[in-house]
Amino acid sequence: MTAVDPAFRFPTRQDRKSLPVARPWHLRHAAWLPFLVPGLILVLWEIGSHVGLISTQILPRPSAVLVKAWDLALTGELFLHLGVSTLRALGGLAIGGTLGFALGLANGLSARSALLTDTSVQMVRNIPILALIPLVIIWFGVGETARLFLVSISVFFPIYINTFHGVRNVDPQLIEMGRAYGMSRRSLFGKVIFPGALPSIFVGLRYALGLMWFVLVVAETLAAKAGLGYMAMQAREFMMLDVVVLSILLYALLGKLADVVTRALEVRALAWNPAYARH
Amino acid sequence: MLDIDQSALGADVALIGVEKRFDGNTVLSRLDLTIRAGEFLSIVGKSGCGKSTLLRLLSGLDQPSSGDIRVDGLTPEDGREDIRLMFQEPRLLPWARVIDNVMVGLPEGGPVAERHARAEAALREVQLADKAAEWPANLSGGQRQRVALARALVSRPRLLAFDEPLGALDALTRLVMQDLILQVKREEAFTAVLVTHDVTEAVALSDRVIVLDAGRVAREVVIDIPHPRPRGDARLAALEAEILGAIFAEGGPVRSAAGGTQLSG
Ligand SMILES: Nc1ncnc2c1ncn2[C@@H]1O[C@H](COP(=O)(O)OP(=O)(O)OP(=O)(O)O)[C@@H](O)[C@H]1O
Ligand SMILES: [Mg+2]
Repeated sequence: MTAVDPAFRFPTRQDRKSLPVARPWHLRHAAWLPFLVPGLILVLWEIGSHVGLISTQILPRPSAVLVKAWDLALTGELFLHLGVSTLRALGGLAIGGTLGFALGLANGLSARSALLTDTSVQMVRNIPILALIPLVIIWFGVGETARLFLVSISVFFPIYINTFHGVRNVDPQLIEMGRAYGMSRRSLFGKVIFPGALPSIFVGLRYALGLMWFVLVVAETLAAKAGLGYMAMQAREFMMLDVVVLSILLYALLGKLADVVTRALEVRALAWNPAYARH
Repeated sequence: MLDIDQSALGADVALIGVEKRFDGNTVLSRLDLTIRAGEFLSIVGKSGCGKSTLLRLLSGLDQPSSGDIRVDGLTPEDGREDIRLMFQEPRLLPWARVIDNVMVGLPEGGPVAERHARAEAALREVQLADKAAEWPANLSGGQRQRVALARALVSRPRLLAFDEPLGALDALTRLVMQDLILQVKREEAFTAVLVTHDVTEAVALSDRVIVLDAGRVAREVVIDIPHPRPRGDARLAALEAEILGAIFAEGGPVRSAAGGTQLSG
């Protein structure tokens, strides 16, 4: 036990007011602080491989990866693969997301539609997507359609479920209020149901984005002529470790980018919600 | 004080033999009630006696099992902009700013500038003009209920029904809100039907109080005391005691000895 200074008292609101106004340090440095840990890891990794702690046969140096990225950027190869992967991801998201959103709305709004389709969707949902790969290859071959199909189906479920539940869980008191105030079906949807379901839809979107990259990696390592997964596979054949690591880092970067975009959309669309408001 | 002919803008309400059953369970049984244009009627009664059900019928949110309801001679339907209902909860759209929430009370369509102007006027009436751009989450409970009042007022309803609108507020805010309701009632001259658990509130605000019991009007008390009514007035206290007695009396209608009280049912 430490002795308590008899003169000690908790600082009062008055004390705080008399202090110079200073934001806590972690808020003053909020812009770069999140990158401190990844940056430190990179530095340690670089030092580790220079002093021989990390064999470059197992893990190339960050600087070597950077140089390689620069080379690939100069030849344009990097952007080709990046572009192809991004297109696939967005294409799958557009198809699967739209379908999931539409069916989620339909089932949330119509009990008949929900009775008819929800159970079936829930059953299919429990199949691991990757278990479908052999079937998908037989159906579509190893072409672009197969990859698009896998990504679409993986984003479909989280968006469907969260849209459905979002619509179902809109406060019934608000819906009754809308009815009492003579809202047309259209404005009941636009002003009450959709905004009420939006937080849940965003949860689905975030989840879908994670799955989207995950499934894309697998789909691109299958058999592709371009894309980040293809780049990594090719590099493995020729033991080009730096390219393998580069493609992994690019996936991480793309995932983070998708998250940042969603977060920005959330802050804009859910500004009314104290839980999402900017700090 | 601004004095408007209260009957000119308020709706006439008539309930004739109204019954409401929920699968076999009779909540309102052959209820007859007329409300004068511009009258302020309060409804009190034990929990579960059908007060909210009655208001839902009046505002067209639900239909009677049998019998007839006429507001200005027409059957109420939900969305009639001359009938508005205020709930115990504010029921504001959390994702819409205060001014947009008030505009929910206006009929859809029409020039935006005009809608805006009307909503602002309603907000001024409840003394919240400076909060027009706020999110509901940033308001106090009393302020939220004032926004709900502005939303109910903005279409200039002829019948305004309140379902325990002050039930969730603290005692002090309640008194302020009661004065506000009386004030807008004086200015807008609608017919008011107030459901409340608070008999003091009913006596302080209304022209007539009815006690609902077992789906019928068990007692009717006319409060024939001009506004402003001094709080703690002995006549008000007597009427309050009488109403409380009726609420907790066993059985059917009770005849009262006090002046101004009528028997019904
Ligand atoms: N939709 C419904 N379905 C079935 N029963 C209902 C329904 N709405 C109301 N009831 C029943 O009708 C009765 C009256 O309900 P109501 O809400 O009108 O009471 P109340 O007088 O407003 O009570 P409180 O003072 O607690 O608000 C209750 O017994 C309730 O269970
Ligand atoms: Mg009630």
